[in-house]
Parts: sequence; C-alpha cells; structure tokens
Amino acid sequence: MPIRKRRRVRAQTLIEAIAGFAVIIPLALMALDLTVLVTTSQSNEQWAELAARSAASQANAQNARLTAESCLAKAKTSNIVQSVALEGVDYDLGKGQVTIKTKMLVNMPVPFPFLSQVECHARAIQPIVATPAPL
Amino acid sequence: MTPPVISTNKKTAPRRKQGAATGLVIFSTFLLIICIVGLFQLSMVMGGSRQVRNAVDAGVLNISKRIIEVKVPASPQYKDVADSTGNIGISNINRIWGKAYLVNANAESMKADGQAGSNTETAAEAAFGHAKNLNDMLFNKVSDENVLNMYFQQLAHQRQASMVKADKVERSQADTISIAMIDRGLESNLSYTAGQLPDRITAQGTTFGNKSYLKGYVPMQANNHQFAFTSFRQGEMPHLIDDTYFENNNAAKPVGGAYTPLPNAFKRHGEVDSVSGKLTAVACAAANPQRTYTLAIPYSFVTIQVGNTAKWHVDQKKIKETTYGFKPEEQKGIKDYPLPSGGKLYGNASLGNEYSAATTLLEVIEALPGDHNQAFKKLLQRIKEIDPDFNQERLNKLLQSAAFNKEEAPSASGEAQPRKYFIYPVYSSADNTDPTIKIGSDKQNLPSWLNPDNPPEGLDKTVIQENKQKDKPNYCWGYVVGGKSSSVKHWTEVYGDVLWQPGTGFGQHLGELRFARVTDIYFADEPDSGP
Repeated sequence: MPIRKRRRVRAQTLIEAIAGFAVIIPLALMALDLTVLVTTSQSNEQWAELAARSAASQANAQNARLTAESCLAKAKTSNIVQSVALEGVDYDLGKGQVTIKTKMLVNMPVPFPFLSQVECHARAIQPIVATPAPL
Repeated sequence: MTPPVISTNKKTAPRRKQGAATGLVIFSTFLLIICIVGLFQLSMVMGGSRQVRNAVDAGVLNISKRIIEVKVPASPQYKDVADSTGNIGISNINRIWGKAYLVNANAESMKADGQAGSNTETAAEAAFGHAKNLNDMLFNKVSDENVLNMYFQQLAHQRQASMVKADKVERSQADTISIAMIDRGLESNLSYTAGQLPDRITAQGTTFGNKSYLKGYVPMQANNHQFAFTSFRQGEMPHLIDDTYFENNNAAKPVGGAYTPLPNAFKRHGEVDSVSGKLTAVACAAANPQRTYTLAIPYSFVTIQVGNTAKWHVDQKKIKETTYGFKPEEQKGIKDYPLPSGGKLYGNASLGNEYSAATTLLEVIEALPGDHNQAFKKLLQRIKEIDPDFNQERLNKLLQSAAFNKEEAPSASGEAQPRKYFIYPVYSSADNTDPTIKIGSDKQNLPSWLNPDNPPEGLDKTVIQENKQKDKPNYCWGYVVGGKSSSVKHWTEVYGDVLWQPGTGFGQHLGELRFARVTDIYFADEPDSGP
C-alpha cells in the first residue's frame, strides 16, 4: 500500500512536469521565433536604409535602382533569411527624395502552422544628394 | 538552577507533495514571459532608437542638400555672378567674393603702380561693401533656425519610428551651435589660373587634380580687406560627418576677417516621444553644391585704342599738331610760316604709311617695331579676369581676326579719330560661366550689358615706347618761298607710346591699352644738305 502511494505521488509530479513543459516549451519556441522576427525585421530596415542611401547618391532613377539592387545583393542569406529583395524604388527628382522598399523573406526557425515563413517589409526615404545645384 | 529546555522536536507542517511541480512550472512560465516581454521591449527600444537615428540622419542630410535653395536677390553690381534666376545662394557666394577679391586686387595693384585714380578706392570699397551685404543677408537666412528646422522636418516628418510607436520624428530644442565651417584650408568651389591676378597679389590656393582652387576659410588680403571663401570639397556630395569634427569647426571658432563666411555644415537634434520614453539623436552633415566656378568678373571688358598724331616743328619748336588716319595721306601742315632767315616755309608730310600693309588690328598694332609683348601682358592679365583660360596665343589670334577698316568714319571736327576696339565676353549659359572672347569696334554690336562709355578708374602710364625710326615710314618735305634758299632741312621721327590705363572692373572696364603713334616732323631754317 505505501509503495502504491509513492508511485502515485511520483506519477503526479511527472504529469505536472510534463504539463509544465507543454506550456514552457511552446512559449520558449515562440520566443525564439519572435526574437528571429524582430532581429530580421530590424535587419531588413537597415538594408532598406543602406539601399536608400546608395540610391540617393545616384543621378538618375535607373542607376538608383541598380545601385540599390547591388546593395541588397550584399545581404547574406541563410536558412532563416531566405532573401532580401527590392520591392520598389521611387526616385522623385521633383521632391528630391528617393524611397526604397525592401522585402525580406524569413523562415521561422520553429515553424508553426500558418507561420512557417514571414515577409518583412521596410521603407526608407533619403534626400537625393547626387544632383548639383541648379545653374 | 535548571537550564531552560529547548525543544528540538518541534514539528513542521508536512510538505504537500501534490502540486509542487505545478508551482515551479507556473513560476518558470511567469519568469520566462517576463524575460520575453523585457527582451522584446528592449529590442523594440533599440530598434526604435536606430529608426530615430536614421530619421535624424536623413533630416540633416536634407538640410545639407537643400540649403542651396536658400537665396537672396543679387544687387545690380553682382548680377553677372548670380545664378540663372538672378539670385545668390550658398553655391555661388564664392563667385561674389571672387569678383570682389579681383576688384580689390586690381585696386591694390593700381595703387602700387601709382596708377590709382580718384575713383579707384571708391570702386574697390563699393565692391567689398556690396559683397558683404549680400553675404550677411544670406548668412542670416542660412543660419536661421526656422529655415534649418523646415528642411529637417521636411524629411524627418516622413520618417517613422514604428518600433516605438512614433509616427514622426521631431526636431528637439538643443542649446548647441547648429552651423560650422568645416574643411578649413581645403579647396573652395572657385578655381583660378596662374597669371589671373595682377602682380603683387598672391592668392592662397590649393591644387586638386590638375586645377588650382582658392582655399576655403583662409583669409586673403587685398586692398586692406580680408576675403574668406567657403570650402566645398571637389568630387563630394552632401554627406554625414562626425560630430567631433563638426564641433571642432563650429561657427564659434572664428575664421578671421571682417565678415563671417557662409557655413558649409549643419547639425540638428531630433527626438520622438515614445511609450517607453523620449528617444533623441543628433547628426551633422556637410553641404556641397557640386558646382565649380572660375574666379572671374563676367560682365567686364578691355579696350584697345590706336590713334595717330603728327607734330609739326620748325627749328625744334612745335608749332602745330594734327591727327592722321590709317591710309597713306599727304598733309600740308605748314603754310606761309615766316622763317628767321627770311622767306616763308611750306611744309608737307606723307603720313599713315606705317599702316599701308596692315589689314588686321594685330598688323596695325605691330606696324612699328617694339616689344609689344610687354604691353600685351597687361592686357592679357585683365582678359584672364574674364576668361581664366585665355592666353597669349589666343590673344594674337583674336587681334589677327579683327579686320581693320581703314576708311575714316566721319567726325564732327573733320579730324581723324582714334580707333577703339572692345574685347568682351559673350555667354551661352544662363549663369555666365562659359565665356567666348570676342572683339569688335562697332558699339551697336556690343552685348546689351556692356556700357562702352564706362571709363577705367585708373591713370594711364607708358608701358613701352616703340622704337623711333627716322624718315620712315612717314616722311616730309618743304620749300621756302622768298628766302635765301628754296630748300629747307627736314626729317621725320616716327614712334609710338604704348600706354596702359587700368580699371578695377567694378564699372565693367578692366583697362585700356592705348597705342599713341606719333610722327614728329621737323623743319630747320637751313638749306637741305641731305640726299
């Protein structure tokens, strides 16, 4: 009879631990995903910023796009960051600004249903500095 | 006495074995959630901080880029160095000071040569005064906090700090100097060439590539005034700069001179009010108009004048002076002149022969032998103040290209008039930066800006004297009526004085080179013994 009682206590602890892990582990995994998401999102913003700065130093829209593309091509891809691509370039000489939009495809390290891949979008505006003063 | 008994078998409540793990799990979960939320918040603040920094960077860069749009209207004296809209901005302020510097350098040189006229100092002072007024007006606008904030917010307001839930970045009030004069001692955007400045004036220059540029923020002396230009590095665009570099060169650290030159760097503080507090950032950026000009007085000209005088002498006494043209002609200069020995002298001369083969202005100038290059040096220096790339070879070609019309224009006095040629620039660009030097004598065909009646402010001085020639190319003869002998001793001396009358250029006229050709005609009251 005492043996059975001890067993029951042990089993209960085990069940409690398993139930606890069932809560903690998904939480930890979600935290991992969240960390990756925040980090990659910030990284995407920095790439957009860099691309906008390089595009702003070009004298025309075509070169601005090429420069932004070549800037983004330097972004290192991995199992997590699948790609960083140029989503749009708005080279507006009238306003004297260039707007760069980037899209980063991020694979979640812990894929959840309907959340195995996330698209991060970023937008950066810079003044076009390549144009000389008017005559 | 019995010591107190301490009970050691005090029984504690038995631990509950059930739910021990649950509590631990709940505590761990709670701790984990706190950690996750904390790290997430920290990460968002850091990300937001970077967004604010980027936004402030972009805003300050926008100031540096758009500060060229801040302008003041040019005064009439400086219309020629204004932009195509007639305004002065940070990009062409060095042109203003360049013109004022040239005018004052010319004035100093004229004083040193003893050729300063009564209007020389007035012109030089006016040039400096007008330039300083424009500079000060522009400085006030360029350093105006409202103007700087406008350009800053124009871009910063479009930038969000989404990670800290702020929809725009605002400028923040900061008690710091927001303008600086960086790159002191490095090149300005004003190039110049050797020989462009008058003698005795040395510019503080620096070389970049194969061009020389006036140094920025280094005072240069001319006519007791100090001139300082704004540095704009060649090949650079507006860009962010280090805060320490900015502070080491901020406007509180004087450049020197009687005025404050325009700044070339700007600083702003930006901030956002986020849920997690106030985030601030600071950035500094250098402006650069990416446009280079040459040191010049665009609306100016020089003149060349050629005139001929015949001086009639009898027994070494000048009795008459006439003028003659550029075609061989015979003048009967002396009629019925009573000689001491008795009889009356009739004296004639053949004049204008020095130009018989001349068809161009250069040939007219070189009609008499002499070191004309010395005279051309003065002229060339002044033309270089219009077009720095002009040289002796181009000057010769220009003078050779000017056809010389020997026909006399009718004058009121009936006497031959000196011929005046204008050497002036024409421009196809709206900001007068591409001079093509032309030459012409017809006032009707001169550019509309050119005022041909503006005299040079200086006094004339002989630069060279052409070699004197006897009895050639002009010659004379005479005869006596009623004297002991019908013949009379006679000879001519033909020469020229080349005079230079300098101008400062403030009234457009940079100087006149005058060829005063003289034929001295001599008669002596003695029988002619010559061949």
